[in-house]
Amino acid sequence: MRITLIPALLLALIFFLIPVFIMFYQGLFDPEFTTQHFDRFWNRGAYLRIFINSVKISAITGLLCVLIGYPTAYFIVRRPPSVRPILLFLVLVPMWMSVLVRTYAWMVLLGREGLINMALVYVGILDEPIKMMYTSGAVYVAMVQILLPVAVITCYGTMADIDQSLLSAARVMGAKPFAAFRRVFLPLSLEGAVTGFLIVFVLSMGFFIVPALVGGPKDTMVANIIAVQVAKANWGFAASVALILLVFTLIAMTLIRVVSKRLIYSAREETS
Amino acid sequence: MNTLKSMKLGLAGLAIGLTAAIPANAEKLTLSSSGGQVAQLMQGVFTGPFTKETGIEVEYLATTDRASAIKAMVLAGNTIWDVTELNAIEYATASLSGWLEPLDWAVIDPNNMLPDSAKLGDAGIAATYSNILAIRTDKGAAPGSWAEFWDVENFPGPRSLQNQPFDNLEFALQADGVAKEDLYTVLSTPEGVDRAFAKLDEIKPHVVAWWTTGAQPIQMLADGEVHYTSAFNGRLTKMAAEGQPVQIVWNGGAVKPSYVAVPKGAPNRATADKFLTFMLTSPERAAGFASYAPYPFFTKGLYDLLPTEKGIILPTHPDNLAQQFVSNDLYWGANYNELNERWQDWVLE
Amino acid sequence: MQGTTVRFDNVSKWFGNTAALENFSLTVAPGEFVTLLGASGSGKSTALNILAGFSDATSGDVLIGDRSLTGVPSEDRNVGMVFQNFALFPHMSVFDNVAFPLKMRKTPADETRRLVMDSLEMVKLAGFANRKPAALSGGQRQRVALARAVVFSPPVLLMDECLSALDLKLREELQGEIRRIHKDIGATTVFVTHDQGEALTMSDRVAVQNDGKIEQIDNPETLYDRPATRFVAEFIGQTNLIDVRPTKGGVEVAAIGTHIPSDKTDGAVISLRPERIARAGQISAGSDITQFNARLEDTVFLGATVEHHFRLKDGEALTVREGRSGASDLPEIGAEVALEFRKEDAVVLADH
Repeated sequence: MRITLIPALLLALIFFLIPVFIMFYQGLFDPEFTTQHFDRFWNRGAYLRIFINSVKISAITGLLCVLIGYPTAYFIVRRPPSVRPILLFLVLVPMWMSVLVRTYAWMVLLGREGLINMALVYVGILDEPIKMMYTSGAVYVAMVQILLPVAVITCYGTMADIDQSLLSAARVMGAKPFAAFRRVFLPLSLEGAVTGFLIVFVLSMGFFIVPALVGGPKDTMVANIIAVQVAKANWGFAASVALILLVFTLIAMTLIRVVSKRLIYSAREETS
Repeated sequence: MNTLKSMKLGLAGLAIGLTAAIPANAEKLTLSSSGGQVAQLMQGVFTGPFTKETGIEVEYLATTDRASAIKAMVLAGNTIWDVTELNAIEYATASLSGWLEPLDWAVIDPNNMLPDSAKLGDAGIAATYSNILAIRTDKGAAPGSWAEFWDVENFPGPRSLQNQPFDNLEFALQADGVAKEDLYTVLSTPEGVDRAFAKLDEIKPHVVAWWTTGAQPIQMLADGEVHYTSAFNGRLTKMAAEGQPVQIVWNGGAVKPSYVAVPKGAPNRATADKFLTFMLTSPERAAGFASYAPYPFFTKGLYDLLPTEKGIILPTHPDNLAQQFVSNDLYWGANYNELNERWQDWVLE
Repeated sequence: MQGTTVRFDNVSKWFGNTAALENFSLTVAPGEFVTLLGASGSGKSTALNILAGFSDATSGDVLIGDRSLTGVPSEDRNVGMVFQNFALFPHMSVFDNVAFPLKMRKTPADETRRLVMDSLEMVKLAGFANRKPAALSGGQRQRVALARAVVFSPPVLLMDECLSALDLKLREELQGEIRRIHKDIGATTVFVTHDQGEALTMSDRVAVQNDGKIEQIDNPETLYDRPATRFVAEFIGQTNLIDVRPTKGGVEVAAIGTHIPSDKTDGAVISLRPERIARAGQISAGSDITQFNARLEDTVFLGATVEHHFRLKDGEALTVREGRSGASDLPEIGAEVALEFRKEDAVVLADH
């Protein structure tokens, strides 16, 4: 093992592994061994429902980010090398702005008397303002806006590693532009897309302020439960929910990785 | 070389300064409270004058998640806060868990400057705000009570309520005819809770948004997203003053206290009592606080010192207080988990 | 299989104000192996990219057979190509890589299988069909790239610096192999390289490019023996360039004190290959020989040959190479040595 890694490992141990272990302990011993917190989570419909809803919101956010981020990254990677850093910079700029500021900006834009409604009514597309705030749609708009740079950068990373002459090679060998993309570029960049999805998914699972601000009543996130229970100093239950979140996220990530490996593999085999 | 020298001098000076500032065995106080603008106000109105008057240094800590912090200190047997501000949920948690020192009001408030309702066994009520019915005045009929908020035929329009069981169950019971004095008696029975939820069922289809932060209902009113909503009073006053067509309906509102308390094992107990006296029992200082922030204390004589137009907009003004009820945070502390689970289920149904 | 004519017709390519290729005309006969030779920036790759369809000419036309390629995308040009960095698809097996052009042409599966295996056989990699490119050596990868380029029997084969990534020994081995395969399949081949040795070894004809223009197109012998320009003389092989002055019917070589007959009226230098100069008396009589003296400054041992560095009386340097058979009677350093060469071996060139 490289000796230079020791500080990093120590940091991870002290500031990550030990707290995770303490959390695990808090969830199971309060103070005697107990499964009451986990029982409460499973047996009260609200928690499970919120959990499933969080998974749904995170998964859709992840998919939307990849669906928008992948073509964006593709666009950037096909530009001349001198232009690419500028475009990447533009993608990253919004990340310097506070998440709360951006969320409130969406509230101003999407409100019933907000800019978008007013503009649509003014030009006559709408007869009267429609409800855009406090809907799941608003949640996706706000979350995708916040997390999109992550997906773009992840996809771009994989794409930039792809030798661009492979596409020329495919073309000169008789592949139409789309065939060259599908048979060469897509299989080689799919892994970046999956990674981008996973990172966005995991980050989304920890969100709660944004959905709470712009979402409807059904857009409560699991992180919300944890925050409320910490405020009530109910460490045992908060730890249990956090643990369930952690374990679920790890399992989901592993599953998606395994399944996507298969998919990528078969997508590559299919070209034979 | 010069830099090093001046650094050494500076450090030495700092050390002398520190020793001078904290003489051995000097009385001191550690206060845990909010950060930001509240911190400036607290220091300007209370801790600064307190130090000036008594010579007792106050260490001001801007804190959050105080119930968790007190739990950690009590479990570790190492309490460092002498006095702490607590919000409703923090107070209820700490009080029900026995993490607060009992208070002797004969010592703290010998002149009876606080009403009994503000003197709890282990905390005093300090600043307050209200969760009240707020209405747009330009959208037709203006409801004047929770019963009228519930009356969607005579008072049509989109509505909003907070995405929390507290206050809403009380509002629903009032709409169902329960007197504000009887709210918690009714809520203490399962039938009473059922009754509140049954009443909420009626209004649910007309609630377009369940707000989660105080800024939301204000924003929704301003945007015309809703016509009637529950909301916190502070920002509404500002909106109305700016000429926006909004109005506060005090009738049936919930006075939401914030608390000051002494955590178990506080190191400077006697000093803590001194500070509570200083903070809670002076109408002048209460008026000073209220003239800067719309979160008044219960201190007697406060409104004699405020101009009428400044007093009449505050939750504890006698005219307003008479129309409202005070949130029973201990009831909520004891029942929150259960009622919140039910609430979450109910909202998602 | 029969190759097809490839014709560049007055092709220019401008990037802003700089010409990467200027009035480039070249006709490659069916089945011919022509190399575009030049330093980087000489326009050789630009010409190949225009032929492959990766970039468009600013003006002029490129034709394969009688068909103009203007507006024809790469995939419809039906040319095979080997890339400098191999450009094998890393996610596909060797078999799938070679099968790719056939798959794009919707060749039936059994036909594909036969053609791919034939191709791999040809490059001696039949046993590697199921490997991934990452599991192959550099030389093997280049063979796969070659097999992939020719598997669909393209009438035209393009090779872009395709040996430069390999080490010397492998490069020589593959040079022979590419020659052999070219003879087998008969595709018209355009090969791009900056390595003059490679160009001379492999090509039927070599086009020497400089600054976007063709300096000379000829077979390797002519290119070496009768360079058309000073640039070509210096670029191909090693040579002595001696300043001369044009006179009636030829040039006057002051440094040697001789006259070389020539049709050129603007002759400024003569190019004289080091191996065409010998010690006096060694060149058989019968041709027009000129003799002169030079002082030996240094002798360098090169294995099969030795190289002598002389100084002419006007101070100009002169390099002479000779076989080692006479090594025993090497002149001493500093000695005045009598040298000779055939006048016909001196090529008179203009100074540009």
